[in-house]
Amino acid sequence: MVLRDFYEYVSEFCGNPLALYFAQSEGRASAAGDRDEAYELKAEKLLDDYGNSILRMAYSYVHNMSDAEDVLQDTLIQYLKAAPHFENPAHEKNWLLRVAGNISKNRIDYNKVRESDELNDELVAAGREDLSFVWEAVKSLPAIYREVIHLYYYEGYPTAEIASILKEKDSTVRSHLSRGREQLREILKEAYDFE
Amino acid sequence: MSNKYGDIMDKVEVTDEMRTRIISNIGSYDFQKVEVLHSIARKRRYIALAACLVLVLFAAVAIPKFMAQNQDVTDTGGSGIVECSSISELSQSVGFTVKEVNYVTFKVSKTTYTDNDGMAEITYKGTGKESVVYRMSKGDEDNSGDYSEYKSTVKADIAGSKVTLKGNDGAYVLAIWSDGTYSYSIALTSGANKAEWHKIIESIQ
Repeated sequence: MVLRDFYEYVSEFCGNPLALYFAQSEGRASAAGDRDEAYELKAEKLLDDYGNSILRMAYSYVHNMSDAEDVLQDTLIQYLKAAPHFENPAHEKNWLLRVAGNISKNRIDYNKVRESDELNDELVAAGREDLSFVWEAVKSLPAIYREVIHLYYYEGYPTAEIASILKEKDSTVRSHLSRGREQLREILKEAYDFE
Repeated sequence: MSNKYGDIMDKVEVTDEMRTRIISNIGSYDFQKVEVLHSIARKRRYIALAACLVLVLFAAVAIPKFMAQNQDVTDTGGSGIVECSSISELSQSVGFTVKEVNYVTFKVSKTTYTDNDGMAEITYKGTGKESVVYRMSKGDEDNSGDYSEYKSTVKADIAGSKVTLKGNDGAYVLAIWSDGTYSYSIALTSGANKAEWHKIIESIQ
């Protein structure tokens, strides 16, 4: 608690505490090297804790590995630049998923996404046409349904928390979830298992 | 939970190569530049506050007079992204009459109307991956959001406007033009030749 208060105090008056710590430690020249190392260490930790979740969230939007990797990297850079403070790891993860979602949506809006879909290629190559069929069905949904489907069925968030991540109303999320499921049910028929 | 969707997503993983690339890129990212900008921004906080106060005072005096002279100024278009159910709803949302594309090179299976923060965006989707994204906004700036480098860029007189067509090897995927009051852009997933573009743009009404 004391540490957190100190962190907030420093944040309020001096900006990014990570940068401040290094700027004041061993002189500017060595601090720059230490700072780079600190960023890399933090990035390593974020990749360990949330890398797969962020990558999957990004992939659910952009449908190819190169763009998903770019989104993951940009999300980590946003985190390191903002140095946000969280009450618990769940809030931290929510923040990262929200940023990853926004970056992904920007790429889609500006038609920057590539055409390849390595995941589908892998499913087909592995003879998993059943999974490829489901993936193609999810891909065909509008992004507003897809993001809710992903967070609900893969990340296991309740709709209220999805609303918080996406900055939407709970009712909107429930409605998107319901419409997304309805469309999936129509496409998948017997293969439908989004319950 | 959906078992199949879970099985699918489990296959998307951060690989060692990906991890190395990301850490390396982050290591060479210039965070210091960003920090300097933040520092300048903090120092300017009070100047900005003072400027805001001046602006508020100016607005309090000037806006009522300006509004009285020109009622239409209150129409500033939408804010944020709003999905609309029809062209008329979209026109109402963005605050101007949105024209529609009536010819595309495939059979349209779905049309989406979006007020993208005051810019009208209509997406026509086919039964496959083909789609057309048509944008209309106030002003004469390029509103396409597509800053890719294309091999071919040509100008064409179409429907009374100077249209810039961009693409590769004679297949143009992007058209941008303005009539002085509004900017227009059309992006295609698969390229079309000039004759097709004439048909597409001339169909707008």
